[in-house]
Amino acid sequence: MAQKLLLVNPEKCTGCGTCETACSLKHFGECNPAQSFIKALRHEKMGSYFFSVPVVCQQCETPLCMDVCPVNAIHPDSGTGAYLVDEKKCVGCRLCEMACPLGAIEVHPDKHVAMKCDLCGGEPMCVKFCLPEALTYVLEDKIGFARRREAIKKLSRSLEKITLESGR
Amino acid sequence: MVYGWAGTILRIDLSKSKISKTPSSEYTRLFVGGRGVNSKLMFDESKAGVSSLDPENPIIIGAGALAGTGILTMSKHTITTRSPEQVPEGFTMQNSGGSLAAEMKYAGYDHIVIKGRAEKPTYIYIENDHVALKDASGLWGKGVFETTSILREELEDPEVRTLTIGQAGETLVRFATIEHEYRSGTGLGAVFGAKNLKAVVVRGTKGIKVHDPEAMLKINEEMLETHKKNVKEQVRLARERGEPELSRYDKGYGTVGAMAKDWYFDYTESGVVGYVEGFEWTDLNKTRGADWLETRSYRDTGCCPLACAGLVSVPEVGVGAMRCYPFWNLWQLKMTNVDKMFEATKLMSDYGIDNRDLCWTVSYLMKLYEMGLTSLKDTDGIPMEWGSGDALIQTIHKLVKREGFGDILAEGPFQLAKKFGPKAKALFLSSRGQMSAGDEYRTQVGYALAAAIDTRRSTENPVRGQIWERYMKKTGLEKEIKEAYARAKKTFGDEKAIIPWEWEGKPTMAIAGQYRIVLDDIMGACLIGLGRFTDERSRIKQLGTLPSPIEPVILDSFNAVTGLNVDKNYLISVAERTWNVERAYNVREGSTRDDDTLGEGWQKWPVTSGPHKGRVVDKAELEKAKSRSYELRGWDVDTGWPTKETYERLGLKDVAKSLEKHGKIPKKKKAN
Repeated sequence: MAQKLLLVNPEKCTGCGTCETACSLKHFGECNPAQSFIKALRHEKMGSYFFSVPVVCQQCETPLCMDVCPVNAIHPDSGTGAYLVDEKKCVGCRLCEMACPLGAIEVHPDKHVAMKCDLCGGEPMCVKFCLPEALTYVLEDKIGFARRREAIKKLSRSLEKITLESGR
Repeated sequence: MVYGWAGTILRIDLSKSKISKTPSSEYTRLFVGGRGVNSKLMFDESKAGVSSLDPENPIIIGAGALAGTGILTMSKHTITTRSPEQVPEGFTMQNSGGSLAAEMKYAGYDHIVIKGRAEKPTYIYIENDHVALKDASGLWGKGVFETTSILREELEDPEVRTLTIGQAGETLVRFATIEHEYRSGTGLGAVFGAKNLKAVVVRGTKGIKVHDPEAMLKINEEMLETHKKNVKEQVRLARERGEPELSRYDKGYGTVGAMAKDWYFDYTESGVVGYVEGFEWTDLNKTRGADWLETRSYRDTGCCPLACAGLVSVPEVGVGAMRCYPFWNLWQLKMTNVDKMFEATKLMSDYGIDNRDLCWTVSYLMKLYEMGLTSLKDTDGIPMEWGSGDALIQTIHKLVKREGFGDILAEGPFQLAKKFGPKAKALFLSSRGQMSAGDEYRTQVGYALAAAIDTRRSTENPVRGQIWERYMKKTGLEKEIKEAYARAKKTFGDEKAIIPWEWEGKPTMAIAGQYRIVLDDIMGACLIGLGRFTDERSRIKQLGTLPSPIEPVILDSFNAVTGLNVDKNYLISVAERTWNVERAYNVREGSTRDDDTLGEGWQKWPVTSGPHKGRVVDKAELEKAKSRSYELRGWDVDTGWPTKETYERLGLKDVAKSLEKHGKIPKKKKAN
C-alpha cells in the first residue's frame, strides 16, 4: 500500500508560524517554536525582504539517523512509516543529529533524548493548520501528479487566453 | 501556575545603563496585557509635562496577551508613548503585527519599558534572560533594511526579531516610524531617535505555558473552518451575480486582499480620490492591485495565512514588501504608476516614515498647488502636480535630509500648513494636528465622533454595525437590509442609528467600537485578519443590534490559554479601564473638552461629488454627541474629564488620587 508523506511546498509558506505552535502544543503542551519539530526558517536578503521555508523530517528513504544509532533506538512506525525514537533506549549520543542532512532531529535540552517528527500518528498537526497548503500530507504515488498539476497552472491560464479568447 | 503570560516587565534606563525586571502580574489583573498594561505603565511611569522628545518620556513595548500562542491572527505588539506629532502632544500608541510580540514572550517578557537617553547610539539586545546595551555607532545614519541586515550578521542569528528606526527617526522627523518587518505606523520613531536608540533586537526560545492546549487547537481548527466557509460563500454570491471568477486576491489573500474588487469605494461610499474629493476618477481601474500583481512576480508572506505583507518584485526597484495602503495612497495622489508608488513605499520603509501621514500631506500640497494657494516657491521648485510620483519621492528625500520645506514638514504637517496662511490651514484635515489616519468622516459621523474623542487620534473605523444600503443592495441583500432596520428600531428606537451619516445612536455605538479596538490591541488581535476567520454571515444578521465589544473567539481563546475562566464583562471592563487611564494621561497633560475635535476642514469643506455631495461634519451635532458620549462614559460634560466616581468604579483609585493632586478631577455638581 502506498504510504502518505509530509510534503513541503516552500513557495507557498507565508511564514506565519502556525505550524510551529501547533507542533509544540501537540507534543509539549506549550507554545514554543524553539521546541517544534517543524521550523519555518527565514531567508533574508539585505534586510529589504525575507521569506520563510519550512524544514521538517522527510522520513528519508535511507534513514541515516536510524542507520547510525548505536543503540537501535530508532525504528519505523508500521502504520505511518515515520521513524520514531524509543526514549527508553536513546542515550543522547547525538550521532543522529550529526547524520541528519536536514537537522530535523535534535536532542531535547530538558529530556536529554533525541526527538523528531512522528507525523502525529498519522494526522500531522502542522498540515492541519497550514491554510496556504505549504504543507500537505499526501499519498506517495500522488505527489508527482500534484506537483505537475501545480506546474501547469500558469501554462493553462496562458493556453486559455490563446485558444479560447483569441477564438482559435 | 501562570498560563499565557511570560511574567516579567523588563525595564531599561538608557541614561544609567541600568536593567531591571519586575513581575507583570502587578498589572495584568486589571489591564491584562498589550495596550492595556502599556497604558497604565505610561500613566505611572511618566511625569506630567515631560515632552515627547525629552529623555524622561518613557516608551513602552507590550506584547498582546494572546501573542505567541498560535491562535490565528494574534500577532500584535503595541508601542506606547507621548506623541511627537500631535499638537498639543498627548497619549499615542502604534501597533503592528509580525513576530516581535511572540518573540518577546518566548524570551520571557510581556512588556519592555525604556527610559532615558544613551550617551551614544545604542541598540538593545535581548536574548532570553540576557539583556545588553550595545554600540550602534556604526548603524547610525543607515536605513532600516541595512541596519536589520547588519544586526542579524553581527549577532550571528538570522532568526532575531527587530524594531528599528531609519534616518527619519534619527533626524527627529515627527512622523518617523519604528519599523518591524515592513509594518509600522503612527510616528514614534523620533522618540527612539531622541533616546539615541537605534533598535531593539529580541530572540527568545523559552516558550509560553498554556492552560488547555487541546482547546486552543480546537479553536484554531474552528477558525480555519469558518474562514473556508466565508470564502465559499463569497464565491457562491459572486457566481450568483454572474461576476467573473474571483481571484485569490479577491478572496482576501495576499497583499491587496483588503483592497481588491474596489469594494472600498462601494462599501464606504467615501471620497478617497485626491484630497478626499470624491470617488469618480476615470483612471481608477488602472490602480487595481490584483491586476498589477498579475504582471509582477509575487510571494505571500505575513504573520497569518492571509499574508498581507507579500513580497513583490518590480523591475529596477527590486524586491520589497507591498502593503494595502499604497493602493489607497495612489488614489490620494491620483497616481496610476503603481511601480512608482511601490518604489516610494519601499523608500519610506527604509527611511522609516509613516506612509499614511506623508501621502496625506503630499495630497494636501497637491490640492493647495491646484487651487493656487501655494506656488513652486513654497515647495522648493517641486511642481506638486496631481499624479506625480516624482513629487512624492523628492518630498521624501527632502524630508529626511531636512532640506528646504522638508525641514518644516519634518516638524509635522501641521507646522507646514500654518505657514501657507489661513485659507490653506482651513483645508487641513486633521485631528490634533495630525493628518487623519482613517478615511472619510463627513459620511460617517459616528467615526467622526469616535475620532474626536479618541485617546490617541483617529483610528481604524471603530463604529461597527452600520449599514451601507447601496452596497448591500448591489450584493443582493434586500431582505437583510429590511431586517436590519427593524432590529435597529427595536434596539435604538430609531432605524437611523445604523445609517452612517445620521447622528442617532452613534454615541452608544462608538463606545462599543472603541472598546472592541482596545480589546483587540490588548490581546494582540489583528482587526482585519480576525474578521476573515470569524463568521461573516452572522455579522449581517447582527446588524441593527448593539455591536459587541468583544469577538467571542477572543474570550474563548483567552480562557483556553489562561484558564482564568473570565466572562465577557470582565474583559469589557478591562477595555473601559484602559480607555479611561489613557484619557487620564491626556487630562493630566492639559486636555479638555475643546481638544476633542476634528480639523476645521472636516467641518467646513463639503464632500464635492458622489451620493454624499455637500455633507460636512456638523459642529453643533458633534458637540451634542460629545456631551451624550461623556454622560454615557461617566465623564464631566463641561471639562470632558472622567469623574472621581468613574475612576473608582473602575478600580483606578490611584489614578484619581494622582489627578486630584494636579487639580484635574471635575468639581461635583449639585443634582438638579
